[in-house]
Amino acid sequence: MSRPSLWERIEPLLSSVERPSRYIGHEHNAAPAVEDGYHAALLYPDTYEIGQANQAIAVLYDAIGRLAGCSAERAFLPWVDLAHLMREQHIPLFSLESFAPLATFELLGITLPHELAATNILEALDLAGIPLRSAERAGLRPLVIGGGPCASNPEPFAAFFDAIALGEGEELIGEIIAAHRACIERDATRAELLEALAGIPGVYVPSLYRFDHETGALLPSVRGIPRRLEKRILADFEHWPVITRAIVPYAEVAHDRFTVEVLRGCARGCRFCQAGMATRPVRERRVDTIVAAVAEGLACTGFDEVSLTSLSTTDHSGIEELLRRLNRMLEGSGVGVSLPSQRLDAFGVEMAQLVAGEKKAGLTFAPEAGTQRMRDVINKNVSEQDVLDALTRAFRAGWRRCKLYFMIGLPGERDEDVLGIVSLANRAYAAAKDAVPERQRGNVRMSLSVAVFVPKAQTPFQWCGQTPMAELERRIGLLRTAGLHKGIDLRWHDPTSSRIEAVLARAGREGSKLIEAAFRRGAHFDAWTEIFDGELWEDAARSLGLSLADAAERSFEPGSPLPWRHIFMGVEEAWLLEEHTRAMEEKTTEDCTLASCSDCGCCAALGTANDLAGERHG
Amino acid sequence: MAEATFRLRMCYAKTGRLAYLSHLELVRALERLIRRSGLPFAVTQGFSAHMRHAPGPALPVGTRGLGELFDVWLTEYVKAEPALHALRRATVPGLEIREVTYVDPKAKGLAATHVIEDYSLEIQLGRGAMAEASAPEAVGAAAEAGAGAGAGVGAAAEAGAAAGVAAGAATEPLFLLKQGLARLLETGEVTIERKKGRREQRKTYDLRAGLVAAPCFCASEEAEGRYQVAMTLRSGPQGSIRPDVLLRAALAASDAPLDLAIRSSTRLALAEEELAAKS
Ligand code: SF4
Ligand code: SF4
Repeated sequence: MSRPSLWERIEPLLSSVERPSRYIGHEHNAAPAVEDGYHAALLYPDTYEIGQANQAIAVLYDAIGRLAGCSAERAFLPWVDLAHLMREQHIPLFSLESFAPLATFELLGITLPHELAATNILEALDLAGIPLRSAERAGLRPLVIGGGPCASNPEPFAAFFDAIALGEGEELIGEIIAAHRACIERDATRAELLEALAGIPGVYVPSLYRFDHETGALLPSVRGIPRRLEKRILADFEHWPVITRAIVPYAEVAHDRFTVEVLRGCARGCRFCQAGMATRPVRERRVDTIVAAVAEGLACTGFDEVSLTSLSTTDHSGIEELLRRLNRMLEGSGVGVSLPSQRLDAFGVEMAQLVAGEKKAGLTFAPEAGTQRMRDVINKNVSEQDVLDALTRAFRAGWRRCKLYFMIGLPGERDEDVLGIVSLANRAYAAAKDAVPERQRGNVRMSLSVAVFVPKAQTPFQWCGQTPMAELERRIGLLRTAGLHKGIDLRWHDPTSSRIEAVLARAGREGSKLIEAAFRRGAHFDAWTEIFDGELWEDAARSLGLSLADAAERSFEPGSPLPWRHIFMGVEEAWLLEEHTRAMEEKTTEDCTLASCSDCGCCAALGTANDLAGERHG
Repeated sequence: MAEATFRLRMCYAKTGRLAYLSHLELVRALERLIRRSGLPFAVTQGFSAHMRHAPGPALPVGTRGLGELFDVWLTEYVKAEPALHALRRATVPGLEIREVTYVDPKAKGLAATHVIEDYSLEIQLGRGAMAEASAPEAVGAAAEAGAGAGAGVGAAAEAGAAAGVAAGAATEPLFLLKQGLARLLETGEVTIERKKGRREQRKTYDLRAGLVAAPCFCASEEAEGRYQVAMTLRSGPQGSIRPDVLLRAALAASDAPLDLAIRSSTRLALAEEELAAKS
């Protein structure tokens, strides 16, 4: 298929839109498209600034570029000003490498980063001129594939995708492309293509699974495809090449720096955390590998900051050695090292200290709950003393600002737990002030961010309903009047958008209708508070005879068929239920990278194990 | 740490897609390419260490630059030729490093020196309803000048409508634009009001110092109302007026309902002292 470039039509629009540099592509290290061959587009359903540094896109871009005769290109959603002009002038959504319309690609891969990106996925398909629903598409291309965090419960997205990839994509993407190419070559039918894809481990083809009214489960409607769909993992993470030829954006983007993923997975086992459950087992890259990658990556990108990313970087068994070696290597170069978040103990602060140098911007701590009881319920294994010690150490070392993250509406939460957030914050503030010389106390800044708990699929809290809105509002009121020190800046999350997250996180296939109805009413960029409009969703739900409140607040009976029961993201339902029970009994469970295996089922089912570079620092 | 004793001045061209980079984005792109080049750049000491450099005057978004300047301090002397090669190897399409020279490390910064900016623009001029919409950027002295001439917008619109019948040179868009420009030059300054968020910003530019060569227009054969415009501006420590802003101010001063679209804009910048040295 010939692929026209839309650049000539887009360029004249650029002088009348905000921040035109995000639409020009051609950044250093962006890979040119192959002439003839297999073209894959990777779309992040938000703006360039939000999506460009996304690691999932970067990993797949790199992996596809390594396949013979294939190239990957990136696409993002244009901001509303350009989207408006594109619609007016009938310019379809394009890629940033060759400016080809997305509809001319063989494959369109879309990241499912979080629930509030749902309508943006439809906005992207609509702008691209691709039918929204898989059932309305014909032919073999573009094949529309989804994947990412929301694949833990793919059902509300099911209708929009030809296939959904479960788990890590490095190896899987190659298998999908090989199967697709074979089908194109032999001129297969669309049905044959879908069946071929469904035969690949880790690929879920929603249209081949039907709701069985008798069992309440989704069952295969053709022979030879699995009943239970297991996620894929990259077992040999250590030997998979680190991305060093990273794209260097012109426009200012979130996480504008060189990034090395130092480890994958987190086994701390916080019971609300979908990422921790769905990325097991833990695999660490070796310190030598990371140091070499940093040197190479900085040389071929020119970034002045390197970020060591993962879910829990300071848990890396070689973190101290790594940071010391990087410090030595980068001395005098003006390159800074950053850690995504701080582990909540003195060791975490010590590590932060190693990289902070003179520049002590601010620290981020997430105790998540205000009382020990509640922290035991959610399995956040930190004590109040840990929090206070960490803060004392940080403020003594020279930090003057810190952010504390908490959640409200957690299962089993009582008023005393909500009030506990305020008293913990007050004690933390006092500890911070005490640690600072008297004349500098005026510089101490602390902020308190309170999010609303969203029950997520594949977690021990997947059976729990979200706390009703009125009750959440009452608890926010409690927070505001509980005597928080005036020096602490309190912010809380809007429960209206958390409710939509909760609805979509645990919805079945009816969720697709809701997303589409909200999109048709104009919902898009729902994660942008200045654009988000909860009324559009309420109205969409009403039109379908649904209630957002009921959907968000509903509890599932243990044992009842959950909409995502056919999906296995690494932890067995039986283990999740056990964890659920332990939560209600306020019993904690240990991290299997520090203590013994708690038998979540991951290693046995996937034939793998934690792969640590050394002994971890407990 | 080694002393930052060598000041390398890069002259570069920013063309193609990179015309859409903002000043900050461009500075970042240059910094990154210098880091990739492996040149021994100097790093500032203190709170937040960064590369020691001094960019030339900001280039408006959408404008190509043919001779732009950027100084970077080095800790070791690298001959100009290999330095140029290292930079060229590390650069990106659209950012062409034309030459490098060493300048006195103690000379004033590029932002503080006067830089001569040669602009060439392609504009599309016409009568249209957009005249009102393009007005808000430029008023002040311009509007006063217009009021002084006694021609209200309404009256001018009528004149425009009548132009078909009484087609005279006096109603030609270019003539009107030039007339507006002449009014601006007479007052010797132009005041621009701009909305930044909710705040209104006012800035007055001295045209006697800031305009080295007044715009001259050359009709293009490609389309009716299309002109190549050349003008030379001088930027100093207070910044410089943007050529498109100057043209719009002239348009407003003309009091005629005209449309102006900037189709492209290119600049050649040179530090004044170098210019003197070269001639
Ligand atoms: S520490 Fe807890 S919240 Fe953080 S990634 Fe691990 S399991 Fe999730
Ligand atoms: S099976 Fe055991 S060792 Fe493996 S991830 Fe689960 S708890 Fe950890």
